[in-house]
Amino acid sequence: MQPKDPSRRAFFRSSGSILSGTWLAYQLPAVLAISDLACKAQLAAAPLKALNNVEALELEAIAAQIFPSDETPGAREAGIIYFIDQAILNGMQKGEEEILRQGVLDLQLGVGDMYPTVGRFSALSNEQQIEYLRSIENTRFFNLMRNLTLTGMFVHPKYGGNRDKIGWKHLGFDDKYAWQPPFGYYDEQYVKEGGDAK
Amino acid sequence: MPSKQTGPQYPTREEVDFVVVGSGAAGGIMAKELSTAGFSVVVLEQGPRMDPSKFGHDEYGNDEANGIGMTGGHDPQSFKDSEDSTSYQRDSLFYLRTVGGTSVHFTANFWRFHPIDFNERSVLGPMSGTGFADWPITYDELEPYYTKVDWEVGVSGGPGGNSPPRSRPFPMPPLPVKSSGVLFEKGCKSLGWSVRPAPMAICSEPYDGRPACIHCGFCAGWGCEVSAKSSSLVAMIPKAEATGRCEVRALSTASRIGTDHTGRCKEVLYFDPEGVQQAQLTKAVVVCGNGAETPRLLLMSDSNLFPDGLANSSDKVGRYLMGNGQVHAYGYYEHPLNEFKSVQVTRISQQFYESDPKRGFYGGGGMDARFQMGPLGFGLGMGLPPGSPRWGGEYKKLTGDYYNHVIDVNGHTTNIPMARNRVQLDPELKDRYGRPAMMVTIDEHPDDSKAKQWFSDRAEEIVEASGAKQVWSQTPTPSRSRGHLLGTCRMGNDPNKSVVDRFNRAHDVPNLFLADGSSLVSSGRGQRTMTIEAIAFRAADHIIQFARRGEI
Repeated sequence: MQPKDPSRRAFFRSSGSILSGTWLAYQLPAVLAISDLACKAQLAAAPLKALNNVEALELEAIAAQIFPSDETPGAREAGIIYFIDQAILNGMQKGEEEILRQGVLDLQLGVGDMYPTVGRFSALSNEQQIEYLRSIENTRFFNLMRNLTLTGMFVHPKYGGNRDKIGWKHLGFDDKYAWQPPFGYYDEQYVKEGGDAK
Repeated sequence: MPSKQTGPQYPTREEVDFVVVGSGAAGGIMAKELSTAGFSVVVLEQGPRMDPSKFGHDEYGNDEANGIGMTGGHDPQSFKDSEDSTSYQRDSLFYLRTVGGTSVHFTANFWRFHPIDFNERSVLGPMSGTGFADWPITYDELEPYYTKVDWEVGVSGGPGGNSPPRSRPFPMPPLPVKSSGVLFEKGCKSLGWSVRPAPMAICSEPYDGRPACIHCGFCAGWGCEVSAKSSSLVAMIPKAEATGRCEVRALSTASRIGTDHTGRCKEVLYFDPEGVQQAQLTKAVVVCGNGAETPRLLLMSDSNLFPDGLANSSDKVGRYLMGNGQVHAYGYYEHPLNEFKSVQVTRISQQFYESDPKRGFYGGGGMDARFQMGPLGFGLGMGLPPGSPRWGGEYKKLTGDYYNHVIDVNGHTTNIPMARNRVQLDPELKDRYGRPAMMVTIDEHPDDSKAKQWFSDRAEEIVEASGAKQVWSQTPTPSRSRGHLLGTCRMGNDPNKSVVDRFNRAHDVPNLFLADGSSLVSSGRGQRTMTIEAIAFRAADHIIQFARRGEI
């Protein structure tokens, strides 16, 4: 019952829940339990280890609809499929890997029903993909994919997603972590107009 | 800044002068004050000791919020949403388990309470069915200790509208105003409401051997990697250890206060880092656990002499659990704000601090402007207006358009003390040491919701008046969780109605003191740490005098 290793990591492993500071305006997704193991991931151009080719193709197509590439890069360029692969490899929360793998099987059945001539989600047209995802957007599978995709988009790149800081650049977040005023437009104007900078 | 433990190592079976349980906002101060006064002190902290220089900005693996901040797993809780309902396993009370406690990752809003917080019951009259009461002390009695917090812990800020009286100016000027502060100020002024620089326990200039804030932007939920945030970990604990009389034992979880046949405390039992039970002999005990852990420890310390828990002849230990309401109104602005830079709050308004019977309910509050969402939280869609798409091209566009253009105006409100809201011991659920889990009941008074709605409406008015292009808010709901842990061992003159006296000494046990959020009689208006620290300084002052006079 006692942790043999009284290090901080022992605390984290035994906690197994999600961020819950009530003063924070949000909660991180449950998938974050993978965190400390995934942190070793450096994934650019690495082969996929947990997902087979079909799974990778289908899941990446979904991720690319959740956060598409348009005038600016999206989930594909951010390496989301590698992030998901690592997440599986490093141990997701209980049942999540199964949701993901079963989800791909269900996806193929569902797509086959709706588009008998195609059979595979990734082979659908853009409009068809969106239409299909709308039909499953309240499922646990889709929500898990949404969490994984967006987490991979905006997480620190050391976890294997957010390649080249694509997600952060998209938001306008700059990871310099040391700033001096002026910080934004309105405080700059305020000081220019004679307001007390303090 | 020493990050490792220094100082003496006391044998457990030799009596020290004081055991302080907890090393957070109150415990850090208690340790520093008692050891500086010449007493030997052992501090028991259930969490690990973290190295401030290693605090980072990784939202995914945020150790300070994601890991040890949580209660789940090794220390489960159960919950009831009313007095009569059946409990089920759910975490509802949150705090950081580490040396320095929650002060390590707090936002560092350091508002003083106002005089009205101490005598509101006398001013407004009774509120039936509640524990609404005056404090046994006044603002004036606490004021010197607020000033002590300002100067010894390190608070920056400036004067302005509706400030409570102060005997000395802030030791540091306010932190530089952010765009959110400018817009908030504009909104308040155009409404004719008071506004002033936010008092923050963050150094705006080098202070007391610590550097000025570098405006990294990660305060709420984060440890400060340059130690500009005035946590107990960097502002108090090193000073306590430097006396050579204070030993801080991390990863040491108190499980029981042992008493002798006369009913005096004689030792504190705890589980050491290896999970082995130890017992530190002591002349006196000061519990600074917080509003959750302090009543729990007393309830776990029941005995033949104290069948309902130590110091609980009043049956008030664990009752009157309070937090604070927090409501949000958001605004979208044309120009970039870059709110990810610098501290979370730079302007506040206490225009509506006091309750006004004309509103038809009890409740007051304060307001501020902030934005405390990291890129991951925002990217997951938690900062977008309701009804926004959740995925796809339009979602992508919105996240990019909004991240640097949004502020969050908060209302922070009162929470009425109710006897039914309490911390008890779960009869079955245990933690990893076999200690009974906390069983928590939270069933707020209806006026708390009315106050939240009222302040949400005012927050929206500020956002509108500040020139936002779009305004939205969250409909307030009754809170079922607490990050502010208050009131569970309340202070009072009547031993039948309170747990500690006006000097924070337990009515029932002469060598037991409780000083932390549990001592508070009322909730204040949202920012309680300043008051917890002032109470700790004041209690320490009296404890030192009692000890020197042989009155413990």
